[in-house]
Amino acid sequence: MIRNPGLKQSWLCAIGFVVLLIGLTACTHTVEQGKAFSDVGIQYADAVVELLDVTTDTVIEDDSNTLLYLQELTKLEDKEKEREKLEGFLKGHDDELSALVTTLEGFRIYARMLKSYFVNLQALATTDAPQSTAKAVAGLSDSINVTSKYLLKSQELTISEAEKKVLASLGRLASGGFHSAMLREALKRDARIIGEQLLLHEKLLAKLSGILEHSTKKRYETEKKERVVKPYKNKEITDRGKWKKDRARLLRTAFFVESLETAAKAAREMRQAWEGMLEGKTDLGASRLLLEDINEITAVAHQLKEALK
Amino acid sequence: MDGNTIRDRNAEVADLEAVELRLLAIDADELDDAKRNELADELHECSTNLLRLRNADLRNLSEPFKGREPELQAATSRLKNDLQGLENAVEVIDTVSAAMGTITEIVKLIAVG
Repeated sequence: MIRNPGLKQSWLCAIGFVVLLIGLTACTHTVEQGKAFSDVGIQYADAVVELLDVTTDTVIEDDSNTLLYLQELTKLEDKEKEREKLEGFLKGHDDELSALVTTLEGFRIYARMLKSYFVNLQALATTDAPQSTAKAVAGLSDSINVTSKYLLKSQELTISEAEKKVLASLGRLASGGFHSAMLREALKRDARIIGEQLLLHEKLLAKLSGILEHSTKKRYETEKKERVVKPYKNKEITDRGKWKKDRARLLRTAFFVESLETAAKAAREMRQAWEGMLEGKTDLGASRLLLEDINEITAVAHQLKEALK
Repeated sequence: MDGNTIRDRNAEVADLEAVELRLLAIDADELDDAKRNELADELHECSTNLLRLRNADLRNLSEPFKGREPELQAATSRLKNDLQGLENAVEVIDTVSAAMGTITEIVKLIAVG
Protein backbone atom coordinates (compact mmCIF):
# COMPACT_ATOMS: atom_id res chain seq x y z
CA MET A 1 0.00 0.00 0.00
CA ILE A 2 1.37 3.42 -0.94
CA ARG A 3 0.64 5.89 1.85
CA ASN A 4 1.59 9.11 0.08
CA PRO A 5 -1.20 9.86 -2.45
CA GLY A 6 0.98 12.29 -4.44
CA LEU A 7 3.77 9.73 -4.74
CA LYS A 8 1.28 7.05 -5.76
CA GLN A 9 -0.11 9.26 -8.54
CA SER A 10 3.30 10.21 -9.99
CA TRP A 11 4.43 6.57 -9.77
CA LEU A 12 1.38 5.46 -11.71
CA CYS A 13 1.79 8.23 -14.29
CA ALA A 14 5.48 7.36 -14.83
CA ILE A 15 4.69 3.69 -15.40
CA GLY A 16 1.78 4.67 -17.62
CA PHE A 17 4.01 6.85 -19.77
CA VAL A 18 6.72 4.17 -20.23
CA VAL A 19 4.19 1.44 -21.01
CA LEU A 20 2.42 3.82 -23.39
CA LEU A 21 5.63 4.42 -25.37
CA ILE A 22 6.62 0.76 -25.55
CA GLY A 23 3.07 -0.41 -26.12
CA LEU A 24 2.25 1.98 -28.93
CA THR A 25 5.29 1.06 -31.01
CA ALA A 26 5.10 -2.70 -30.45
CA CYS A 27 1.33 -3.25 -30.77
CA THR A 28 0.39 -1.08 -33.72
CA HIS A 29 2.63 -2.73 -36.33
CA THR A 30 1.44 -6.33 -35.87
CA VAL A 31 -2.21 -5.34 -35.47
CA GLU A 32 -2.17 -3.10 -38.55
CA GLN A 33 -0.43 -5.82 -40.58
CA GLY A 34 -2.93 -8.40 -39.36
CA LYS A 35 -5.83 -6.12 -40.33
CA ALA A 36 -4.36 -5.30 -43.76
CA PHE A 37 -3.52 -8.89 -44.61
CA SER A 38 -6.86 -10.27 -43.45
CA ASP A 39 -8.64 -7.67 -45.65
CA VAL A 40 -6.49 -8.77 -48.61
CA GLY A 41 -7.06 -12.45 -47.80
CA ILE A 42 -10.85 -12.08 -47.72
CA GLN A 43 -10.89 -10.30 -51.08
CA TYR A 44 -8.50 -12.88 -52.50
CA ALA A 45 -10.73 -15.81 -51.46
CA ASP A 46 -13.77 -14.00 -52.90
CA ALA A 47 -11.90 -13.43 -56.18
CA VAL A 48 -11.01 -17.15 -56.36
CA VAL A 49 -14.69 -18.12 -55.89
CA GLU A 50 -15.70 -15.60 -58.54
CA LEU A 51 -13.13 -16.92 -61.01
CA LEU A 52 -14.27 -20.49 -60.31
CA ASP A 53 -17.86 -19.47 -61.08
CA VAL A 54 -16.86 -17.81 -64.32
CA THR A 55 -14.69 -20.78 -65.33
CA THR A 56 -17.58 -23.18 -64.73
CA ASP A 57 -19.96 -21.01 -66.79
CA THR A 58 -17.34 -20.68 -69.52
CA VAL A 59 -16.63 -24.40 -69.90
CA ILE A 60 -20.38 -25.12 -70.08
CA GLU A 61 -20.94 -22.37 -72.66
CA ASP A 62 -17.94 -23.50 -74.73
CA ASP A 63 -19.04 -27.10 -74.69
CA SER A 64 -22.54 -26.14 -75.80
CA ASN A 65 -21.04 -24.12 -78.65
CA THR A 66 -18.93 -27.12 -79.68
CA LEU A 67 -21.99 -29.40 -79.61
CA LEU A 68 -23.97 -26.98 -81.79
CA TYR A 69 -21.07 -26.82 -84.24
CA LEU A 70 -20.86 -30.65 -84.29
CA GLN A 71 -24.57 -30.74 -85.11
CA GLU A 72 -24.01 -28.24 -87.92
CA LEU A 73 -21.17 -30.33 -89.38
CA THR A 74 -22.90 -33.70 -89.14
CA LYS A 75 -24.81 -34.73 -92.26
CA LEU A 76 -25.62 -38.39 -92.98
CA GLU A 77 -27.90 -39.86 -95.67
CA ASP A 78 -29.41 -42.24 -93.11
CA LYS A 79 -31.31 -39.94 -90.73
CA GLU A 80 -31.63 -42.64 -88.07
CA LYS A 81 -27.82 -43.01 -88.02
CA GLU A 82 -27.47 -39.23 -87.93
CA ARG A 83 -29.72 -39.04 -84.85
CA GLU A 84 -27.74 -41.84 -83.17
CA LYS A 85 -24.48 -40.09 -83.90
CA LEU A 86 -25.68 -36.75 -82.55
CA GLU A 87 -27.08 -38.45 -79.47
CA GLY A 88 -23.67 -40.07 -78.97
CA PHE A 89 -21.96 -36.67 -79.22
CA LEU A 90 -24.33 -35.20 -76.63
CA LYS A 91 -23.92 -38.09 -74.20
CA GLY A 92 -20.13 -38.12 -74.52
CA HIS A 93 -19.93 -34.40 -73.83
CA ASP A 94 -22.47 -34.54 -70.98
CA ASP A 95 -20.50 -37.27 -69.18
CA GLU A 96 -17.14 -35.51 -69.38
CA LEU A 97 -18.51 -32.05 -68.73
CA SER A 98 -20.56 -32.96 -65.65
CA ALA A 99 -17.48 -34.64 -64.12
CA LEU A 100 -15.40 -31.50 -64.75
CA VAL A 101 -18.11 -29.19 -63.35
CA THR A 102 -18.34 -31.33 -60.18
CA THR A 103 -14.58 -31.05 -59.69
CA LEU A 104 -14.64 -27.28 -60.21
CA GLU A 105 -17.51 -26.90 -57.74
CA GLY A 106 -15.45 -28.79 -55.14
CA PHE A 107 -12.78 -26.07 -55.14
CA ARG A 108 -15.34 -23.49 -54.01
CA ILE A 109 -15.46 -25.25 -50.62
CA TYR A 110 -11.70 -24.89 -50.18
CA ALA A 111 -11.75 -21.21 -51.20
CA ARG A 112 -14.56 -20.58 -48.70
CA MET A 113 -12.56 -22.32 -45.97
CA LEU A 114 -9.62 -20.03 -46.69
CA LYS A 115 -11.99 -17.05 -46.50
CA SER A 116 -13.29 -18.30 -43.15
CA TYR A 117 -9.71 -18.31 -41.83
CA PHE A 118 -9.14 -14.71 -42.95
CA VAL A 119 -12.54 -13.59 -41.57
CA ASN A 120 -11.52 -14.96 -38.16
CA LEU A 121 -8.06 -13.40 -38.46
CA GLN A 122 -9.78 -10.08 -39.22
CA ALA A 123 -12.07 -10.51 -36.18
CA LEU A 124 -9.02 -11.11 -34.00
CA ALA A 125 -7.12 -8.17 -35.50
CA THR A 126 -10.01 -5.71 -35.23
CA THR A 127 -11.42 -6.78 -31.86
CA ASP A 128 -12.24 -3.91 -29.50
CA ALA A 129 -11.13 -5.99 -26.50
CA PRO A 130 -8.30 -3.53 -25.58
CA GLN A 131 -10.81 -0.64 -25.51
CA SER A 132 -13.33 -2.76 -23.61
CA THR A 133 -10.62 -3.64 -21.10
CA ALA A 134 -9.97 0.08 -20.54
CA LYS A 135 -13.67 0.63 -19.83
CA ALA A 136 -13.80 -2.45 -17.59
CA VAL A 137 -10.74 -1.24 -15.63
CA ALA A 138 -12.32 2.20 -15.22
CA GLY A 139 -15.47 0.48 -13.94
CA LEU A 140 -13.36 -1.61 -11.59
CA SER A 141 -11.68 1.57 -10.24
CA ASP A 142 -15.11 3.01 -9.44
CA SER A 143 -16.10 -0.21 -7.68
CA ILE A 144 -12.88 -0.15 -5.62
CA ASN A 145 -13.65 3.42 -4.54
CA VAL A 146 -17.22 2.62 -3.50
CA THR A 147 -16.22 -0.63 -1.81
CA SER A 148 -13.34 0.93 0.11
CA LYS A 149 -15.65 3.74 1.27
CA TYR A 150 -18.32 1.44 2.67
CA LEU A 151 -16.48 -1.76 3.41
CA LEU A 152 -13.09 -0.57 4.65
CA LYS A 153 -14.05 2.99 5.63
CA SER A 154 -10.63 3.98 4.31
CA GLN A 155 -9.74 6.96 2.15
CA GLU A 156 -6.25 5.60 1.38
CA LEU A 157 -7.56 3.24 -1.25
CA THR A 158 -9.52 5.96 -3.00
CA ILE A 159 -8.47 6.32 -6.65
CA SER A 160 -8.52 9.86 -8.04
CA GLU A 161 -9.96 10.77 -11.46
CA ALA A 162 -6.42 11.26 -12.85
CA GLU A 163 -5.32 7.87 -11.52
CA LYS A 164 -8.44 6.27 -12.93
CA LYS A 165 -7.54 7.55 -16.40
CA VAL A 166 -3.97 6.26 -16.11
CA LEU A 167 -5.21 2.88 -14.90
CA ALA A 168 -7.67 2.68 -17.79
CA SER A 169 -4.99 3.44 -20.38
CA LEU A 170 -2.64 0.97 -18.70
CA GLY A 171 -5.42 -1.62 -18.93
CA ARG A 172 -5.91 -0.83 -22.58
CA LEU A 173 -2.20 -1.07 -23.29
CA ALA A 174 -1.74 -4.25 -21.31
CA SER A 175 -4.64 -5.78 -23.18
CA GLY A 176 -3.39 -4.26 -26.45
CA GLY A 177 0.07 -5.75 -25.89
CA PHE A 178 -1.49 -9.10 -25.12
CA HIS A 179 -3.73 -8.74 -28.19
CA SER A 180 -0.74 -7.89 -30.39
CA ALA A 181 1.31 -10.80 -29.01
CA MET A 182 -1.63 -13.15 -29.52
CA LEU A 183 -2.00 -12.02 -33.14
CA ARG A 184 1.73 -12.33 -33.75
CA GLU A 185 1.68 -15.83 -32.26
CA ALA A 186 -1.33 -16.79 -34.43
CA LEU A 187 0.41 -15.57 -37.60
CA LYS A 188 3.58 -17.45 -36.68
CA ARG A 189 1.63 -20.58 -35.73
CA ASP A 190 -0.38 -20.63 -38.99
CA ALA A 191 2.46 -19.50 -41.28
CA ARG A 192 3.05 -22.90 -42.89
CA ILE A 193 -0.64 -23.82 -43.17
CA ILE A 194 -1.64 -20.57 -44.88
CA GLY A 195 1.52 -20.54 -47.00
CA GLU A 196 0.63 -23.99 -48.35
CA GLN A 197 -3.00 -22.98 -48.92
CA LEU A 198 -1.88 -19.95 -50.90
CA LEU A 199 0.47 -22.10 -52.95
CA LEU A 200 -2.37 -24.52 -53.77
CA HIS A 201 -4.69 -21.64 -54.69
CA GLU A 202 -1.93 -20.20 -56.85
CA LYS A 203 -1.74 -23.51 -58.75
CA LEU A 204 -5.54 -23.59 -59.04
CA LEU A 205 -5.67 -20.05 -60.43
CA ALA A 206 -2.95 -20.91 -62.95
CA LYS A 207 -5.07 -23.84 -64.16
CA LEU A 208 -8.26 -21.74 -64.28
CA SER A 209 -6.39 -19.07 -66.22
CA GLY A 210 -5.22 -21.78 -68.63
CA ILE A 211 -8.81 -22.97 -69.21
CA LEU A 212 -10.08 -19.42 -69.69
CA GLU A 213 -7.20 -18.53 -71.98
CA HIS A 214 -7.93 -21.49 -74.23
CA SER A 215 -11.62 -20.59 -74.23
CA THR A 216 -10.76 -17.05 -75.31
CA LYS A 217 -8.56 -18.41 -78.10
CA LYS A 218 -11.34 -20.75 -79.28
CA ARG A 219 -13.83 -17.91 -79.48
CA TYR A 220 -11.23 -15.82 -81.21
CA GLU A 221 -10.55 -18.53 -83.84
CA THR A 222 -14.25 -19.16 -84.47
CA GLU A 223 -15.21 -15.51 -84.69
CA LYS A 224 -12.18 -14.63 -86.79
CA LYS A 225 -13.07 -17.40 -89.24
CA GLU A 226 -16.78 -16.47 -89.44
CA ARG A 227 -16.70 -12.68 -89.21
CA VAL A 228 -13.36 -11.72 -90.73
CA VAL A 229 -11.65 -14.42 -92.81
CA LYS A 230 -14.65 -15.97 -94.61
CA PRO A 231 -16.36 -12.71 -95.67
CA TYR A 232 -12.99 -11.30 -96.73
CA LYS A 233 -11.69 -14.23 -98.81
CA ASN A 234 -15.15 -14.88 -100.37
CA LYS A 235 -15.64 -11.15 -101.10
CA GLU A 236 -18.88 -11.27 -99.12
CA ILE A 237 -18.52 -8.18 -96.93
CA THR A 238 -21.93 -6.50 -96.94
CA ASP A 239 -21.25 -3.93 -94.21
CA ARG A 240 -17.66 -2.67 -94.40
CA GLY A 241 -17.98 -0.64 -91.16
CA LYS A 242 -19.16 -3.70 -89.22
CA TRP A 243 -16.38 -5.86 -90.70
CA LYS A 244 -13.78 -3.31 -89.55
CA LYS A 245 -15.35 -3.12 -86.06
CA ASP A 246 -15.38 -6.93 -85.76
CA ARG A 247 -11.75 -7.12 -86.83
CA ALA A 248 -10.73 -4.41 -84.33
CA ARG A 249 -12.66 -6.11 -81.49
CA LEU A 250 -11.02 -9.45 -82.22
CA LEU A 251 -7.59 -7.90 -82.27
CA ARG A 252 -8.29 -6.43 -78.84
CA THR A 253 -9.24 -9.91 -77.55
CA ALA A 254 -5.53 -10.76 -77.70
CA PHE A 255 -4.94 -8.18 -74.94
CA PHE A 256 -7.52 -9.92 -72.80
CA VAL A 257 -5.27 -12.99 -72.65
CA GLU A 258 -2.62 -10.73 -71.12
CA SER A 259 -5.13 -9.71 -68.42
CA LEU A 260 -5.54 -13.38 -67.54
CA GLU A 261 -1.80 -13.70 -67.13
CA THR A 262 -1.86 -10.69 -64.78
CA ALA A 263 -4.57 -12.40 -62.71
CA ALA A 264 -2.44 -15.53 -62.37
CA LYS A 265 0.51 -13.34 -61.38
CA ALA A 266 -1.59 -11.76 -58.61
CA ALA A 267 -1.97 -15.20 -57.02
CA ARG A 268 1.80 -15.69 -56.97
CA GLU A 269 2.29 -12.25 -55.44
CA MET A 270 -0.29 -13.05 -52.76
CA ARG A 271 1.81 -15.98 -51.55
CA GLN A 272 5.02 -13.93 -51.72
CA ALA A 273 3.36 -11.12 -49.74
CA TRP A 274 2.35 -13.61 -47.04
CA GLU A 275 5.93 -14.83 -46.74
CA GLY A 276 7.15 -11.22 -46.78
CA MET A 277 4.72 -10.21 -44.03
CA LEU A 278 5.89 -13.04 -41.80
CA GLU A 279 9.49 -11.94 -42.34
CA GLY A 280 8.46 -8.34 -41.68
CA LYS A 281 9.29 -7.32 -45.26
CA THR A 282 5.79 -6.56 -46.55
CA ASP A 283 4.61 -3.10 -45.53
CA LEU A 284 1.07 -1.72 -45.69
CA GLY A 285 1.80 0.00 -49.02
CA ALA A 286 2.60 -3.40 -50.52
CA SER A 287 -0.70 -4.75 -49.17
CA ARG A 288 -2.55 -1.98 -51.01
CA LEU A 289 -0.70 -2.79 -54.25
CA LEU A 290 -1.55 -6.44 -53.76
CA LEU A 291 -5.20 -5.50 -53.37
CA GLU A 292 -5.05 -3.80 -56.78
CA ASP A 293 -3.66 -7.02 -58.32
CA ILE A 294 -6.42 -9.06 -56.68
CA ASN A 295 -8.98 -6.61 -58.04
CA GLU A 296 -7.54 -7.49 -61.45
CA ILE A 297 -8.72 -11.09 -60.94
CA THR A 298 -12.22 -9.82 -60.13
CA ALA A 299 -12.13 -7.46 -63.12
CA VAL A 300 -11.19 -10.33 -65.43
CA ALA A 301 -14.03 -12.42 -63.97
CA HIS A 302 -16.50 -9.59 -64.61
CA GLN A 303 -15.24 -9.08 -68.18
CA LEU A 304 -15.73 -12.79 -68.83
CA LYS A 305 -19.22 -12.71 -67.33
CA GLU A 306 -20.09 -9.87 -69.69
CA ALA A 307 -18.64 -11.79 -72.62
CA LEU A 308 -20.82 -14.78 -71.76
CA LYS A 309 -24.03 -12.72 -71.81
CA MET B 1 2.54 -37.67 -58.86
CA ASP B 2 6.10 -36.88 -59.99
CA GLY B 3 7.28 -33.84 -61.93
CA ASN B 4 7.57 -35.77 -65.21
CA THR B 5 3.95 -36.95 -65.06
CA ILE B 6 2.76 -33.37 -64.42
CA ARG B 7 4.88 -32.10 -67.32
CA ASP B 8 3.50 -34.89 -69.54
CA ARG B 9 -0.08 -34.00 -68.61
CA ASN B 10 0.52 -30.30 -69.19
CA ALA B 11 2.09 -31.09 -72.56
CA GLU B 12 -0.82 -33.36 -73.43
CA VAL B 13 -3.32 -30.60 -72.56
CA ALA B 14 -1.35 -28.09 -74.63
CA ASP B 15 -1.23 -30.51 -77.60
CA LEU B 16 -4.97 -31.14 -77.49
CA GLU B 17 -5.69 -27.42 -77.19
CA ALA B 18 -3.57 -26.75 -80.25
CA VAL B 19 -5.34 -29.50 -82.22
CA GLU B 20 -8.76 -28.16 -81.20
CA LEU B 21 -7.83 -24.64 -82.35
CA ARG B 22 -6.59 -26.01 -85.69
CA LEU B 23 -9.82 -27.98 -86.20
CA LEU B 24 -11.95 -24.92 -85.37
CA ALA B 25 -10.01 -22.79 -87.82
CA ILE B 26 -10.92 -25.10 -90.75
CA ASP B 27 -13.50 -23.56 -93.08
CA ALA B 28 -16.18 -26.28 -93.19
CA ASP B 29 -17.86 -24.58 -96.17
CA GLU B 30 -15.00 -25.82 -98.31
CA LEU B 31 -15.48 -29.48 -97.29
CA ASP B 32 -17.76 -32.12 -98.76
CA ASP B 33 -20.19 -34.01 -96.48
CA ALA B 34 -17.79 -36.90 -95.82
CA LYS B 35 -15.01 -34.54 -94.77
CA ARG B 36 -17.42 -32.51 -92.63
CA ASN B 37 -18.48 -35.70 -90.81
CA GLU B 38 -14.83 -36.59 -90.37
CA LEU B 39 -14.14 -33.13 -88.95
CA ALA B 40 -17.09 -33.53 -86.53
CA ASP B 41 -15.70 -36.88 -85.31
CA GLU B 42 -12.23 -35.47 -84.80
CA LEU B 43 -13.53 -32.39 -83.01
CA HIS B 44 -15.77 -34.49 -80.75
CA GLU B 45 -12.86 -36.82 -79.92
CA CYS B 46 -10.50 -33.95 -79.24
CA SER B 47 -12.87 -31.84 -77.13
CA THR B 48 -14.08 -34.73 -74.95
CA ASN B 49 -10.48 -35.87 -74.41
CA LEU B 50 -9.60 -32.36 -73.39
CA LEU B 51 -12.48 -32.25 -70.86
CA ARG B 52 -11.39 -35.63 -69.44
CA LEU B 53 -7.74 -34.61 -69.17
CA ARG B 54 -8.59 -31.26 -67.53
CA ASN B 55 -10.80 -33.03 -65.02
CA ALA B 56 -8.04 -35.52 -64.17
CA ASP B 57 -5.59 -32.65 -63.80
CA LEU B 58 -7.89 -30.69 -61.45
CA ARG B 59 -8.81 -33.78 -59.45
CA ASN B 60 -5.14 -34.38 -58.92
CA LEU B 61 -4.82 -30.83 -57.55
CA SER B 62 -7.86 -31.25 -55.29
CA GLU B 63 -6.12 -34.11 -53.40
CA PRO B 64 -3.66 -31.88 -51.47
CA PHE B 65 -6.52 -29.40 -50.81
CA LYS B 66 -8.50 -32.24 -49.26
CA GLY B 67 -5.50 -33.48 -47.28
CA ARG B 68 -4.89 -30.04 -45.74
CA GLU B 69 -8.57 -29.32 -44.98
CA PRO B 70 -8.43 -30.51 -41.31
CA GLU B 71 -5.41 -28.37 -40.41
CA LEU B 72 -6.97 -25.28 -42.01
CA GLN B 73 -10.17 -25.85 -40.04
CA ALA B 74 -8.14 -26.35 -36.87
CA ALA B 75 -6.24 -23.09 -37.50
CA THR B 76 -9.56 -21.26 -37.95
CA SER B 77 -10.90 -22.75 -34.70
CA ARG B 78 -7.74 -21.65 -32.84
CA LEU B 79 -8.27 -18.07 -34.03
CA LYS B 80 -11.86 -18.21 -32.74
CA ASN B 81 -10.57 -19.46 -29.38
CA ASP B 82 -7.94 -16.69 -29.24
CA LEU B 83 -10.63 -14.07 -29.75
CA GLN B 84 -12.85 -15.72 -27.17
CA GLY B 85 -9.94 -15.65 -24.69
CA LEU B 86 -9.49 -11.90 -25.16
CA GLU B 87 -13.20 -11.24 -24.72
CA ASN B 88 -13.32 -13.47 -21.65
CA ALA B 89 -10.62 -11.33 -19.98
CA VAL B 90 -12.88 -8.28 -20.29
CA GLU B 91 -15.79 -10.30 -18.91
CA VAL B 92 -13.71 -11.38 -15.89
CA ILE B 93 -12.89 -7.73 -15.01
CA ASP B 94 -16.54 -6.73 -15.47
CA THR B 95 -17.65 -9.65 -13.27
CA VAL B 96 -15.19 -8.71 -10.49
CA SER B 97 -16.40 -5.12 -10.71
CA ALA B 98 -20.03 -6.19 -10.50
CA ALA B 99 -19.28 -8.54 -7.60
CA MET B 100 -17.63 -5.71 -5.66
CA GLY B 101 -20.70 -3.56 -6.27
CA THR B 102 -22.94 -6.31 -4.92
CA ILE B 103 -20.81 -6.76 -1.81
CA THR B 104 -20.95 -2.99 -1.22
CA GLU B 105 -24.74 -3.00 -1.51
CA ILE B 106 -24.97 -5.85 1.02
CA VAL B 107 -22.66 -3.98 3.43
CA LYS B 108 -24.81 -0.84 3.03
CA LEU B 109 -27.95 -2.85 3.86
CA ILE B 110 -26.30 -4.42 6.94
CA ALA B 111 -25.10 -0.98 8.08
CA VAL B 112 -28.62 0.47 7.77
CA GLY B 113 -30.05 -2.55 9.57
